[in-house]
This record gives sequence, C-alpha cells and structure tokens, in this order.
Amino acid sequence: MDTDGDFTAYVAARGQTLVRSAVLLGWSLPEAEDHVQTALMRCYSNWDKVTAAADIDAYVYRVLLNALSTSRRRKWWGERPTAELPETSVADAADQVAVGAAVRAALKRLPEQQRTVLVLRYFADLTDRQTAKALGIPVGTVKSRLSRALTELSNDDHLADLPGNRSTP
Amino acid sequence: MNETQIRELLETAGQDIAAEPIDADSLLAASRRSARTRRLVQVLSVSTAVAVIVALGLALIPRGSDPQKPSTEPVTEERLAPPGMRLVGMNGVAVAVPEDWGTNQTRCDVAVENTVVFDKGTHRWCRLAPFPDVSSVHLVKASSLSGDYWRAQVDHFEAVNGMRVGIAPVRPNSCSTGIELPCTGAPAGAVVITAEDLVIWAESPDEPLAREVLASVRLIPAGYTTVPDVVGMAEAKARETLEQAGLTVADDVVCRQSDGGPWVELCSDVTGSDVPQGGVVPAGSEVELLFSSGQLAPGARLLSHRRLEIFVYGSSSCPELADSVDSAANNLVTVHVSQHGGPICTSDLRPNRSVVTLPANIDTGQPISLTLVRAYAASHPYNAVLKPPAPFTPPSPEATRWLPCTRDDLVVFLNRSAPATGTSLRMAARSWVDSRDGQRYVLTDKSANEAYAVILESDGTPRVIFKLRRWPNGGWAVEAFGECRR
Repeated sequence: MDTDGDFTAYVAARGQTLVRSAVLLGWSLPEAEDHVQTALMRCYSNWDKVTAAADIDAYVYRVLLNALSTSRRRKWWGERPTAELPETSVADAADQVAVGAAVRAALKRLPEQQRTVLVLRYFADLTDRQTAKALGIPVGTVKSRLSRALTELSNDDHLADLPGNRSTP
Repeated sequence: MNETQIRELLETAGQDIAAEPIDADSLLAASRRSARTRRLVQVLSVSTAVAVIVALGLALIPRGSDPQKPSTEPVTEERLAPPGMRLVGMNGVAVAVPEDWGTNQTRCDVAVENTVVFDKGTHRWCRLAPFPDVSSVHLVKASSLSGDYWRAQVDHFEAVNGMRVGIAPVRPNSCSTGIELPCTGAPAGAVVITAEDLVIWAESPDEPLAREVLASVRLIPAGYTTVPDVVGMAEAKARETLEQAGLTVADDVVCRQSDGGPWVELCSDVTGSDVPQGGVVPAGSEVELLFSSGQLAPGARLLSHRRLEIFVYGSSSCPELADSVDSAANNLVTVHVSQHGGPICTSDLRPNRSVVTLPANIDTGQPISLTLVRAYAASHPYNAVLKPPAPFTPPSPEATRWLPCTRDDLVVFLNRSAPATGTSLRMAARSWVDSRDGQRYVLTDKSANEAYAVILESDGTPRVIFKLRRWPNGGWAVEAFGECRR
C-alpha cells in the first residue's frame, strides 16, 4: 500500500470539497482551510485505519467534524478575519454570487445538526449510510434531519426570492 | 424544495467559495512531521506509563515475596535503547544516553550541561573551568588527542555486543592529563573500538551512570543510520551530507521566500537538523534542516536602472557596505561587503543598505545568481537567485485603494525564534496587531504556509502590511512587516 501516494491523491481530489464543505458548515475560508488541513494531517497519521474503514470519505468527514467541534469548543471566534478585502466582499449582484450568499445565509439559519446533514449529504455527496457513519448517528436520524432541513429551506423566503426562483417547489 | 434543487443550490454556493486546491505535497510533508511527533509522544507516554506501573508494582510487592519469580511484564517489541535512554552514534557504533541529554552543549569544548559531545577538534586557546556536576559522553576519533589518551588507559579487551572493545574502566579522574581533557575529578572511563576508529569516553559524578552508558555500546542495528553533522554548512552541502547518510531531507526551507516578491532573503547557514547529530534513526527517515533566524540573513532586490540593493544586518555605527561587484558567465554576480568605521562599534544589528550597479554583462531580464561575501566570514557566502521583476500590470479600478500596500512594502524582517507549537494564524496575527495598538486587520491572502494581512485605519485605509509564516512545528508567526505607502 502506497500511503503517501494514496494520501496525496485523496488530498488532490477531495481537498477543495472539504474546505468548501467546512465553509458551508459556517466557517470562514481561512478557518476552514486550517481545520481541513488539521483533519487531513490527523488522518494521515492513521491512514491505514482510514483505508481499512472502506469508507474513506465518511472517516475523513468524521475527523473533520471532530476538529471543527473541538475548535468551536476551545476558542471564541469573536474575531473573524476575512480572506477577501472588504471591497471585494461587496459583490456585484451577479446571479451566482447572490445565490451563493443566499444559500450560505439560509444554511446559517438552519439548526446545526440539520445543516451538517444537509451539507454532507447533498454537497459532499456522501450517501445516507456514509453520512450516518460520519456523524455517528443512525441512518433513520439522517433521513429525518434531511427531511426537516428541506422543509425549513422550502419555507425560507430569502431562497424563494432568488433569481430564477430556484427554490420553487 | 426537492433534493435536486438543494443539490444545485449547494453546488452554486460551493463554487462561489474561492477555495484554492490544497498543496498536497506540502501537506504530506507536514503530515509526516506531525505523525513522527505523534509517534514519539506515544512512545514516551507508553514508556512513562510502563515505568509508573512497574514502579507502583515494585512498591506494592510484599517484602516476603520471591525475588526469583519471573516478571509478568509483557515482552514488547525490540527496543533500541533502554527506557528513558536514546541511542547516539558515530562510525557505525552507538551508546545509550539519557533522553534529556543535549548534543554538543559545550563552550570551548567543555560540557556545560549534560550532553553528548562529538569531536569538533580542540580549541587550544579557549578553555573553561570544568563543571563538576555535569555528565557527558564524548564520541571521538581514536586518532584524536583524547582518543590517544584513552587508548593508553585500556586495561583489557573483551567482546561486548559482538564487538571487540578495549575497556578503560571508570575511575576517578586523576587530573593528570593536562589541559586536553576535562579535569573535574568526576569518575571517567572509556571504551575503545579500534576497528571503527572510535573512542567513547564518559564522565559523570554519577559513577554508575557512566558505567551504564559505556556498557551499552553496540553496533548500530541493520536498517538504521546516524544523523551526520551539518551545522554551519550551506543548504546544498547539508542536503548532500544527509542524503549520503541514507536520510531524506524535508523540502521545507524556512528561510526561502516563495511569494514572488522582489525581496529575496539570502539563505543563511544551516544551524542543524531537527534530529540532532548522532541520532540513530531508521534509514530513509525524513530529517528537516534548520536555518539560522531569518532576520540576520542578508537580503537583496533588483531596482530599476540595473541597480541592486543589498542589506545586511550589523552595527549601525560601523556599517557593512558593498565594496565591489564581480560578474561571471551564466549571470553570476558576486558582491563583497566589509565593515567601515570604528574602532568602536555598536552592536545594534540594524540593516545596513548598499546599492550597487550591476556589471554590463549581467542580463537583468534573466534570473541572476547572487553570491554575497562578507569580509569577516568569506568562507561562508550567502547565495540567492534573483528573479526579474514581473511586468507591470495596471491595477483594476477596484484595487486602486489597496494598491499602496503591497508585498513590496514588507521591509522589516523580524528576528524571532520558532513560535510555540499550536500558535494559530489568528493567535499570531492578533497578538502582533495588539502589540501595535490593537487595530483592526484583515487577512488578504493565505496559502498553506504563508499569509498576508493588513492593519486598517478606522476608515478602512490600509496602514501596515504584515506577513505570517507557518513554521516547521506548525505554529504561525509574523515574519515581516512594512508601513503602507501613502
């Protein structure tokens, strides 16, 4: 087994998605990058276990969620340095930017448990079973949280107002 | 809202996040280091736990119990050294020393702390009074002065761990050997391995410890190697030396800038490796080179009109200034600097700036290999490759406000030692910003190992730009800063 090769290939393939998932879970980009790197480094030290788990994504996301939750417990994130300069963060009203900002805002309004399940299931593309493994909860709980999250989002006025009326049921 | 719609929305939101691909190679290198540290901590924890359990067990054994009763302690994997000890070696032979001993903790060849000492030659004009409470183990060539002395003290030869070893028993040091050996009166003895041109002598006020160390002499096991001495070498030579010893050298070089900015820090000498000289490690292990603090390394940058700016740190009252510029084929430039002024000089380590004109045969449109030779250390020149400046790109209107604060403004390099492990980017930035009146700051760019941030005035005008770097131990520290131009 080529641990280094496997690890590098995994980072190259999934690194950006992990960072974006962490941002969608409510972290700033620099924080997300830090936590993803921390999680990946932890995974590397147990890479044999990661690969033996047969569900690499579920394992890595579990480590990442642990890192995020540890970090949230340990630190007060009263200060949030931004990755972009203030000017650039005031975006034009381009459709994509508006959709992105609205979706992130809608995700923030969801309870954390629902948000996590939603991001893992529909953004990180984990299966119900993988999501359950990553969160350490039963598959049934994943499904019920997903259902509630989708209902919440359907009732979110901000999403309903998006260009193209994407959220119309 | 259905699954397809939420997938689409999340995908769009995800694409909107400017996450850059993670540098897998850098992360792999950092992960290796982290894993190595983790394993070491685990081994130490297990050793400590076993020691505590054994000690507790011994304390709880009833006095009348049978001392011949076999131990119930499980046999674990083969250890290279007894618990609490580590192997250090040279010429294929090693001894076990206490783990907390340093390496070459000497002044004028005299051990000032408990330490392993490798033969560096004798400073005849520099002697200190010996430190009677200090223990030390010296690994020297049999042909050296102290080797000669100990070979004469050999009492008998015997086979130790498969080697023929000359034994100079541990005895009180008679102090009759002149200035070439420490004369503390502490018990000292030696083992002589003539076949390997090696003498190992130990001295300690704790006589059993000196005996224990010498009795542990053994050949370095197959598949292991020792870390050679790289202190004071230039980077290329140090890499070559480590690789010849069967080690892999980590690619991270702390003193090298990689941000493409015009300032190039000239890489200073190697101050060692993360595993000290003599450490016994598995062949192929990764070793990291450590360099002297970046601030004291000189810097250089190309200016317009074929001018080259050099700065070196030194005395402000006796500045080191450029005396001459030589050139050679392949765009090689050598700048010689020497100290001016005196005879009394302050030792304030200020940057002294010189601007020289490049010789006509140097092509400033191509990378220039620069060598800086300081008169007082001509045998240790600094080297760097200066890249031609990037072509000027007119700023977009949105960027105009930020244009006055660029990486070119990073002109003050901070002299600091490694940050504490675990110092996060935010902790390092916040702490530094707090030391400058606690202004608001924003991160403007970040990669795996580098970040830039700007301190803002209350109206959002950039005031100071600073650069942070992630050190090999994972901690972040501010490396340089500069006032934004108005």
